[in-house]
Formats: sequence, C-alpha cells, structure tokens
Amino acid sequence: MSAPVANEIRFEGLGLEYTTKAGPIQAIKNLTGTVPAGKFVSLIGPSGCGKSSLLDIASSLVRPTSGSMLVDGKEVREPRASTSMVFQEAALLPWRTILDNVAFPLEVRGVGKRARHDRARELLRTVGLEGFAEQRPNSLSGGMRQRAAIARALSTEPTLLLMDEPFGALDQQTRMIMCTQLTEIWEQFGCTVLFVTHDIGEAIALSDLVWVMSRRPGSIKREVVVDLPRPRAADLPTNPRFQELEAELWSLLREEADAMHRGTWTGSATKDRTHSTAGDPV
Amino acid sequence: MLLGLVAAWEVAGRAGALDPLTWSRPSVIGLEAGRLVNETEFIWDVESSILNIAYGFSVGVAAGALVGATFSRAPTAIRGSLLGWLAAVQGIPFIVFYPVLLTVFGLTRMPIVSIVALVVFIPVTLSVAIGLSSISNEYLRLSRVLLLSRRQAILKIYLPAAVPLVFPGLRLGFSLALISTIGMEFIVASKGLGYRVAESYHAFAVEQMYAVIVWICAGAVVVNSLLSWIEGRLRQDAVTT
Repeated sequence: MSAPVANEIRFEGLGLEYTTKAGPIQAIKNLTGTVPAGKFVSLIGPSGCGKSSLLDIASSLVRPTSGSMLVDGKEVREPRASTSMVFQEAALLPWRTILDNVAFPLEVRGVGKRARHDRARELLRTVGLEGFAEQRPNSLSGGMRQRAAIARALSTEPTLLLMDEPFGALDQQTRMIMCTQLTEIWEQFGCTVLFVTHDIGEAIALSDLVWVMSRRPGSIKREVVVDLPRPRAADLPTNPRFQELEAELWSLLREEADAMHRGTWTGSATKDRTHSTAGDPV
Repeated sequence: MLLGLVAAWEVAGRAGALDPLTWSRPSVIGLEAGRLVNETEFIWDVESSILNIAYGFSVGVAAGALVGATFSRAPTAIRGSLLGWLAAVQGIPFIVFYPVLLTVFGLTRMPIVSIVALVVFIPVTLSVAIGLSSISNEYLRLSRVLLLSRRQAILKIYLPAAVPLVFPGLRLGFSLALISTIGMEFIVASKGLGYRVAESYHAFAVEQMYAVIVWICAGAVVVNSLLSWIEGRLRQDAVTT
C-alpha cells in the first residue's frame, strides 16, 4: 500500500485576519513551521494567541487570509477526508448509541453496516470502551465520551489527527489517565498529531515537539524538542529532564503573558516557583 | 381524591341535595357517555371536531416549521425582532375573528381551520426558530470536518437534534388548537363536540352535556399524555456535553 500513514504539514507565512465589530483582528501573523510526518506536536500559548485558529486552518474549517498550508508538499484549502478532528466538547450525537457514533464517519462514507460496526467495535476495544457500545453518550462520563470521540476520529484511519484541547473539560486525574491512554492508542496508529493544550505537563508527556505560540498576533515563538525517550514512564514528572523542559516552557509562556499584561498585571514574578501545571494566569 | 369527589357528587345527587337539571349524577353521566359512543350523530360530531383540529394543526405545524427554520438562519438582529413580534402577537385571542371569518367563508370548516392553523403556527414557529438556532456550533464543525453533504447534515444531524426542541411548541399548539376548536363550535356551528355541548345545554339534556364534556376531557388527556411521552423518550437522549 503506497498511501502514507502520516502527513507532513507545513505552514508557510500563514496569516489570519478577521473583522469584528471592534475592527479587524489579526489572529495569526507570519506563522511558519513544519509538523514532521508521524510526529506528535503540541501547541501551547497564552489565551487568545490563535492556537484554535491554527487548528481551524489545519482542518480547513477556516481559510487563511495569507500564506498557505501544505500537506506533503501540496497546498490544501478544503477539508480533507484523511484529516480527523477531536473537539473539546466531544460532540457525540446524543440520540445515537456509542457504537453508531463511532461508526458515523464510516456511515457517512457509505460503508456497509456490518463492516462499519465491526470496525467500530474494534476501535472501542482499543480505547477501552467495549462494554459501552449500546449505551447512549449521556450515560458516559466526560473522559469516556472523549475516548469515544477519539475512537470516532480514528475510524477513518486518518493521516492527520487534530486535537483541540480534548482534555480541557476533564479533571486533573482523568486528564493524566487519558494522556497515557492517548499515547498508547496513537502508537498503534502512527498518524501525525497536532494537539492544542493549556497544560504544559500534558504537552511534554505526549509530544515529540512543542510549539510555543506568541501572544496575538500569533506566530511560533519557539519550537522545543522533547527528547524524552519513548515509551514515557508514568512517573515522568519526577524525571529531571521533564522538569527542565517544564521550566523552560513555563518561562517562555510567562514572557508572552507578561508582555500581554504589561502594566495591568500586578502579580509578583517568583523565580523559584514550584512546577505547577496550573497554566496561564490569564 | 378525584374518586372521592365523584363519589360525593353521586351521593349528593341521589339524596336530592343537588338540582338534577344543573348537576346530574356521575352514574347517569357514565351511562350516557357509554350510550353516546354508539350514536351516529355523536360519531359525526367527534369526527368533525377531530378533522377541524387535525387540518388546522397540520397546516400550522407545517407552516410553523418552515417559517421557524427560515427565521433561525436569519442574522441574529433580524431574527430577534421577528421572534419578539411573534411572541407579542401570541397574546391575541384569535378566536375573536371567528365571526369575521364566518361572514367571509360562511358556515364551513374554513373559519375554524384557519384560526386553529394560526393559533398553532405561532408557538411552533417560535419553538422551531429558537430550537434550531440553539443547536450548538459544535455540530456545524463536526459536519464539516466529517465532510457531510448538505442533505446528510440535515438528515443525520440537524433534524434529530431539532425534533426534541420543537415539542414544547407542539404541545402548546395542540392545547390551543383544542381550546379554539371547542370554543368556536360553541359560538356557531352545525356539528362538532363544542356544538354538541352547547346544544345539550340549550335543550336541558344535562346528562348528555356532561357526557360529551367527559369525552372531550378524556381525549385531551390522552393526546397530551402521548405527546409528553414521545417528548420524554426523545429528551432522554439529550446530553449536556
């Protein structure tokens, strides 16, 4: 089979401007970066820096006002069949069973009932929800719904997986568990992943590469390589290299947050701040 | 408690404490209600009322769904003022136009069906417009990411999402349809359940009057319960993401 398992995504001079009642807003300006094929890249940045906008462009839900996005060298401006997306709100269809929800993308493509149900069951097994196939979304917890949403996104064997703060609505413990599970699942599929998050620890634990976005208008302030070996241990936070990376990312974010709030924020910048993944003070 | 009242009514009636011409007795009413079911004229009255309601309701729901769906896609500012206007107009007792329509259409079904349609149209439009516009944005994004065609998006996402939101409007519409139909049949009609009640009243056929009232109430309760049950089944699927 010659079809790629993972895409390389390149953003070149990307710009996004939109008009609001208050005037034009430049969400993204001159953003250039490459997501290597098959790698897991996290996107972190202060609130309003355009992370979600970048993901919207990556999924072609939104067209950039300047610059372009290239998938495996070819410019792409329309939604692609081999890109899947997971949203912060799982967006499962409440009137369908979990099985039918996970099989939905295949149903839309005309795959027969038997085939798509078999595939869906397989995916549910992968994400650990095999007993819940006949349940409705509203009987599942938040974490389980996100797992179902991930299963749904994987049903089409995407070469690019976009995730917009999928664990944002979950509590800390569930989030940690989901991170480990996500890595295990991803390793089975090997697609390229672009993952937006507020949580520095999560970004480090999951990724090969972390992009730190600048404040609006957003561009890539720094690309930080996460050179922690895979598979990543569960006690990662105690790893000194993890802590170094966390501190580095934290200070990069703080620079941007401080620049945003210069003059308006009166908090004290403590240099010996213990690692907290509480995220941005905004 | 209801049974207690009915029992007290029966006892008081037999004891002569209640004027039979005004109150009658549950046992007599019950017998009359049973007799009516076999009377052809009564069946025609039932049929007439049901048709009045059914025609009016169908037209009202169809028009309401269409207009409501169109409104929901209008820009927020326009939609707001249109819906506000409709909500204000909702308070008008449209039954008041019955005599006017009688003059225009004569004693046919048209006047009743027109007013019923109007009275159903308003809450259904409001329900559909508000319901559709509150379907979250996330479904729109989902349908685009999954590359749904327009038809697929409507059939597989928007329609199922909208139906439970439309039910309150349907229930209200039905209640108003029933009230209006019976009311107009009271005023002027040649048949129908409302007509039958009025006719019985004027002929001092007290048991018949109460019997028809009982049937009307029973019908209303059955339909409302059915609509509520359907809504309950649909709503249990609603999730708070």
